[in-house]
Amino acid sequence: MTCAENREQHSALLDGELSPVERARVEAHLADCPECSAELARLARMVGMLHALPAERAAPFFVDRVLAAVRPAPWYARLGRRLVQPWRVKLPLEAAALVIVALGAVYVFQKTPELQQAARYQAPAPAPTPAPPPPQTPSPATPPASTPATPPPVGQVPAAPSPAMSDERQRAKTAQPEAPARPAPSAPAPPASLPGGALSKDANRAESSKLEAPAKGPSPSEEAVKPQAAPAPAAKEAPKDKDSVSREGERAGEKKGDGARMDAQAPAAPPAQAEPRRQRLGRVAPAAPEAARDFVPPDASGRLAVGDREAAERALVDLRGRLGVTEAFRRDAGEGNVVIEMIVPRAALADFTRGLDGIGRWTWDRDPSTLPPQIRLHILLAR
Amino acid sequence: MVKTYQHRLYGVALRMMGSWAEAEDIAQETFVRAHRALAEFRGDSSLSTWLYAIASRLCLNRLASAEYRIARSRDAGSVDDLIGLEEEPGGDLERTEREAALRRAIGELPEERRIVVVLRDLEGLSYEEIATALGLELNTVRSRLHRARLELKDKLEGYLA
Repeated sequence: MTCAENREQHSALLDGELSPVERARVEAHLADCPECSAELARLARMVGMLHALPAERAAPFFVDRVLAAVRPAPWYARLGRRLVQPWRVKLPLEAAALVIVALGAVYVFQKTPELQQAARYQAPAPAPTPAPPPPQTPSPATPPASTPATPPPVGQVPAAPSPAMSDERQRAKTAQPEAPARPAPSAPAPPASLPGGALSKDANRAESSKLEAPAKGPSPSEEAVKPQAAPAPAAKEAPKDKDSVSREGERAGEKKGDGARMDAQAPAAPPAQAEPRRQRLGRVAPAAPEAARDFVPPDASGRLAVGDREAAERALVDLRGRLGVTEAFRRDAGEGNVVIEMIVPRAALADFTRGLDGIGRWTWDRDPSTLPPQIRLHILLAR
Repeated sequence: MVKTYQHRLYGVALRMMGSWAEAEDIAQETFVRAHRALAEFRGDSSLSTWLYAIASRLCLNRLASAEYRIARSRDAGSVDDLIGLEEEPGGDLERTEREAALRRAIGELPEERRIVVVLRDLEGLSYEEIATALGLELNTVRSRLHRARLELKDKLEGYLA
């Protein structure tokens, strides 16, 4: 037997796939040939490396997804899908529904004088205060956000503004000088006479809408609170990288409301108060039935192997608090493991996964192929 | 069936396709096809061999499809995504490097050899089971496996000393 012939049999020899006769011939050659023996030893080491590769694991909700794909949908679901799924049907239907709702709203508004009156005098007249004049008057191109809902009667040009009108104007004026004060906290705080009630009301509205839908991105009311963002989109994007990471985390429903942040004198809410709020968030978030949520694939998922589950939970709470990550829901995965869904701001994803590495052994099951502003990350917390 | 074989089939698909999304897609498609064809399963081979056969065929067909090749040439980083070098919390950097090099070398094998190595050395199938799953002669399996291992050994020479 030549060396080449002998080496051809090395794989089969290592796998025990040679007949006794072949095996005897190969081993006889190896006994006399140190080169072939060394070659066999290297091949054996390489095969050992292959066998030592850790096994891959499917994503935590893979079974649910397969079962959902295998089970046929009920007839009414298929019928409904057939009716609304083609875009050529769905889009006109949605547009028509939108128009009907809008027309209905306008009709009701016009036919109900109480509503018009309430819109005109929606806020009690504030006591006139010696507020400093705003740096610039609002341009006609950017009317205040609240005016479209309450257009003044045609032809009515108030020589002396009514108390309600002055309130709206004042709100519009104060909204503009406030614009630069948001990205730069060192800018002067709004004057004491600023209609804080109205602003904090907006903030509270934004807050409550976030509580209802924490993972949906900026809510309409949140947009309404930020009228300054529209004229300068670049200025809105620029500070998002560093400072606004923590600020976004706070906005996601953690520690401070917008109203609290606007008031430079107001003390920051202590962490002890923030924690119950986070818990509230966690309870409110799974509005949909949990079983239904299981079938929605997360943006990303992974496995966090830890030694001490309780210590890991504490570290996770601390990490979440630092990075503005919220816990949406959790479910028992059996064998003492748990699957937690976290809502991670895109800017905080890298720091968060680094933090997970510090808590235990973090491995991605599914990488975030696309990065929405709020990433839904499933963590399988396992021992 | 899904609970028992999910990780194994996902592992085969991941090693073959080099991307998590593709692997999950292939593994899911394997179970869907197996569910549809369960009545036709005659039991000539074991259930696991039958599932491996479906998954292997799906992988090889997907890899051979023109659509996939065009997409892969456009996005050449998918295999590199899979074998990205990450330091583990334990700090066993040497092992991590070795594993990354091994994964990379497996990903560079020709597809018909890669599937044999994956089924034999990562999934532990016997030569007969591989021949059944892939519809090959026993000698072809033996030859492809040996060629694949030699190729891996040459690429990983630095880690074998």
